[in-house]
Amino acid sequence: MTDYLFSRHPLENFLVISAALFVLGVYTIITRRNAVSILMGVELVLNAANVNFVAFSQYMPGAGIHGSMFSIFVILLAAAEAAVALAIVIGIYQNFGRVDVDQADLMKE
Amino acid sequence: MPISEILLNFFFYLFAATAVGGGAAVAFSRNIVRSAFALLAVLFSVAAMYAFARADFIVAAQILIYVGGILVLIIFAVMLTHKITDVKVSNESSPGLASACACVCLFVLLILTFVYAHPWERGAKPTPATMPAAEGRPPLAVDLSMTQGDGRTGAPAGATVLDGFARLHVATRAPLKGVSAARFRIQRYAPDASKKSGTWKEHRPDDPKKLLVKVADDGEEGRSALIDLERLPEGRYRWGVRFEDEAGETGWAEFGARGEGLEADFIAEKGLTKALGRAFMGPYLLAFEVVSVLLLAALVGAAYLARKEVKE
Repeated sequence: MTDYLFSRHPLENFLVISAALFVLGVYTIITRRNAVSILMGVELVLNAANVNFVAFSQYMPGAGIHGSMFSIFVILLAAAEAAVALAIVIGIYQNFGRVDVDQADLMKE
Repeated sequence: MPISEILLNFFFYLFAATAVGGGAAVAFSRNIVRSAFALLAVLFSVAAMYAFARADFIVAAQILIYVGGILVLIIFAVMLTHKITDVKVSNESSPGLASACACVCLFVLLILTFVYAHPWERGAKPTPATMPAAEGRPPLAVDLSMTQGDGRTGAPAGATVLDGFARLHVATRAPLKGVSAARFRIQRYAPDASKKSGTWKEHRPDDPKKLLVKVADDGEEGRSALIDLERLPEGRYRWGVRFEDEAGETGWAEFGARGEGLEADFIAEKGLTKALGRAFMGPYLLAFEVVSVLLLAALVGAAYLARKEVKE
């Protein structure tokens, strides 16, 4: 049992948690109808990827800082993506009165 | 197991459970406001994960940008697009038996890859060195291979040792007679207060006898010695090895040059934040500038999209 502890196998523990977060995010994206919920699923997936980047960067011997660097870029791009996506969500709400992605099926009124 | 290790594991699994439980709440909660606040728990726990990986700067960035920015935006959008009173219809999900099956399969596939296949692992590259001649013994060419991460991932002999497990394997290049034991010497780099320079200090494990190991006879391939070092503190190390027996001893063969793995050494000695700052202003300068322009464009675009339509 102690062989699988975090202090013995840090990298594998991080990977399992990030796999769980990734799968929950994917499930959220494919089952939700609400656009904001889908965005939350995307955030989960991005966080899972980020955990992997940081874990590999810190626990691979001689990996350097490139993984950590990439995770910062991912966080910044997630911020840009969230801002634009939520602006679109608000636009859909103004036009359709709700934000379900299967109902917003018009490019232009 | 020392108490510090027990506490480390306890808190890691506490935050891991919060992260996965919060993720499950985001995925399965029928109330979108609850989903949004569960996402808050997930983002904080992921910040704690980064802290466990000793990535301090990324913890700060995660809390400032994700929790302080993105999550506030999401909660803002939830509040704007729903009447807060009608929470029941706010978070429908399509019946997801097929998608649940697909997700479970994906999870199992990922776990099998991580836990059993280790596709990122690679063997150790041997570092050559010479044992100087002594007492009638000619100089002897030897190779040292170092593995870390519970003895599976190879690293050059000069790389920074991560907090944990390192295995050293020393092999001669030619068959050899007459040696039975090998002695290892471990020196750890101790930076001085200003961190500009430092000294190499002898590192002694709890049991000094551990440094003397038996030499295995590999026949035609030569002789080899293996030492497992558990829970070495993180840092830069120099390794020495010599053969010794009743007849005498050879000179020390030295491994762990200064030039290898310099970037990793910089992180170990000066901290991640300083290393990231250097990288931002160095090799990543162009990417940094592109991202800053992209953020500006996203800000302008978001403001344009979200503004009220002015009817002419």
